[in-house]
Parts: sequence; structure tokens; C-alpha cells
Amino acid sequence: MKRLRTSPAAIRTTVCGYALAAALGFGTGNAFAACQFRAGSTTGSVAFPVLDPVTAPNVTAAITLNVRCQPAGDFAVAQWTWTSANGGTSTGRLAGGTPAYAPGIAYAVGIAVAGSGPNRTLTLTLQIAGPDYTNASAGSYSDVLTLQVTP
Amino acid sequence: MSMRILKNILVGALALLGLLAGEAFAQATSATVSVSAVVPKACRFYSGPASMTIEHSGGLIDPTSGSNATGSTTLNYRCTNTVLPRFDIDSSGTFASPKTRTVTLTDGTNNMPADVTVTATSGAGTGLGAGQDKTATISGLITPANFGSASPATYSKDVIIGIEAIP
Repeated sequence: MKRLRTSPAAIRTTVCGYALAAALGFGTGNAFAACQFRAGSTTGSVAFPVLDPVTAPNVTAAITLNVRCQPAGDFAVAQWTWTSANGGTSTGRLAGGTPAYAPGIAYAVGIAVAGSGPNRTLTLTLQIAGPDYTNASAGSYSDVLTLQVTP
Repeated sequence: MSMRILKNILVGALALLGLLAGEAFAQATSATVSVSAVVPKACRFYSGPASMTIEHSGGLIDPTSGSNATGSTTLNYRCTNTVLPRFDIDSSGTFASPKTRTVTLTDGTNNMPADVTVTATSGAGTGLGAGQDKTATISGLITPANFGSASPATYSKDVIIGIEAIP
């Protein structure tokens, strides 16, 4: 069987093709997802302090995620949204308790992005008002928040 | 340019592309955050102090009576939703529901034993917010054997009632 050999000209064409693809890859990525959660910041967990139903103060918990917009100017137009697995988009809701506490425990969600340049930090701040848990049944509660950024 | 050089360039370009693509794919337009919280069991009194008179009638114990002298009062408590309370009397170190303990009434010189019992009349709590009060009944009892030979006097004692959630 005769073995075909790739000509130098063909190789050059291929190299140029990959180089072009690489360049287009960046261009395409920026066009469809200008802002993203950086590697290592696509998942996280945050726990509220113990919810003491006796004194029932407002309690706050926060987590910081690393985000990137390229170009950095896209931070000005980026839309950061979230949904709660047990709630919706206006308030999050912790489900649980023993026995299950039917209303769940509502919590407010705040998103703030700080820093400069393409790499910045997103702080997710969660707050539960005392009246929202002072009558909750005892036990563990949980929820999963999904954060989304566009464009 | 030789074939070997061109191949090296190709491999290098692919490697670079892979790294760049890897960085791009490692990022994401969404992130998930697990949120958790814990609500502990708790119970507290929300009224008091209270007073209780152990008597037959009119605030008096009839020393000739063959029946127990009794009295009762109430305290309000709240507990975490669905949680039951239990009580202690004068820091005995043992909580129970109901809880009974013999205490000693005194006029300063003479003593008279009385049984005090605390019962969670309303049962489990419905939360510790406003309007969630439940009733605990404190009852007292003095038997004829204990008041029959007592000296005429006013006997009293301050009793401390403790409350906690049943684990």
C-alpha cells in the first residue's frame, strides 16, 4: 500500500488554521459569554450562624466568588441573577426542619461585584430576618442557589 | 522549513490552543451555592414571677381537715415549634415533665413540707415568636399529715422553676 505523505504546504495550512481557530475561539467566547465565574468559583457553600429562635436576631452569611469579564468593561452591563431551588427569584427559601416546617425559612439575596480590571470578586450576601425563623421547627435547613451571569 | 519543525509548531499550537480552551471551559456562566442553617430546640418562660396559695379555702389551711390543701398557678412558656418542654424545681439538676419535688415552707422557725408539681398543660411549643404562649401549671399540695400538727403561722418559700427543651 502506498503511504501518503503530507506536503509542507499542507502542514503550513493546518498550522495557520489552528492559529486562526484559536483566535476565533477567544473572539467567539467573548461574544457569547463576556462574563464568567472563574474556575474554582463555580460551586460553593455557605452556612448561616445558628438560628437562635429565642432572641431571633437578623442573621447574615456571605460567600465570595471570583468572576471575570473580558473585556473588563462588560462588568458595566453584566446581569447577575439567581434562583433558589426551594424558592424563586425574589427570596430564597431554606427547606427542612423536623418535622418539615411547611413555610420554610425565607432569606434575602444580595449580589455585589467589587474590584477592577477583568478579574473581580462577587460577594453573595444572604440574610434571614428574625421573624422568619423564630417559629420554625427545630432541625437542619438547606437550599441551593444557582447564580447566572449574562451576557 | 523542515517537516520536523513544522510538526513541532503544529504540536505547540495545539497545546497552546488546548491550554487556552481549558481555561475558557473551566469558567462558567453559572455557579451553584449550597446554603444551610440550623434551628436549635429551645424553651423559655415568658411570664412570672407568680404566686400560689396552698389552702382549703379563703387562703387558709384547716388543720382539722382530712383532705389535702391544694393550690395552683400558671406560667407562660414558648418552645421551638413542635418541641416539648421539661422542668426543674429549685435546681435539683433533673428535668422532667411533669416534674414534682417536695419543698419546705417555713415561717422562719417552723417548717412544713409541700409537694410542688409543674406540668406542661399546653404541650409542645409552636415557636418563640409573639403570640405563641403556652401554659405550664404549677400545683402545690400539703397533706393532712404535714399540716395537722403545724403551728399557726404563715409559711412560705420562693421556688425557682427551670425550663428546657426535651432533647
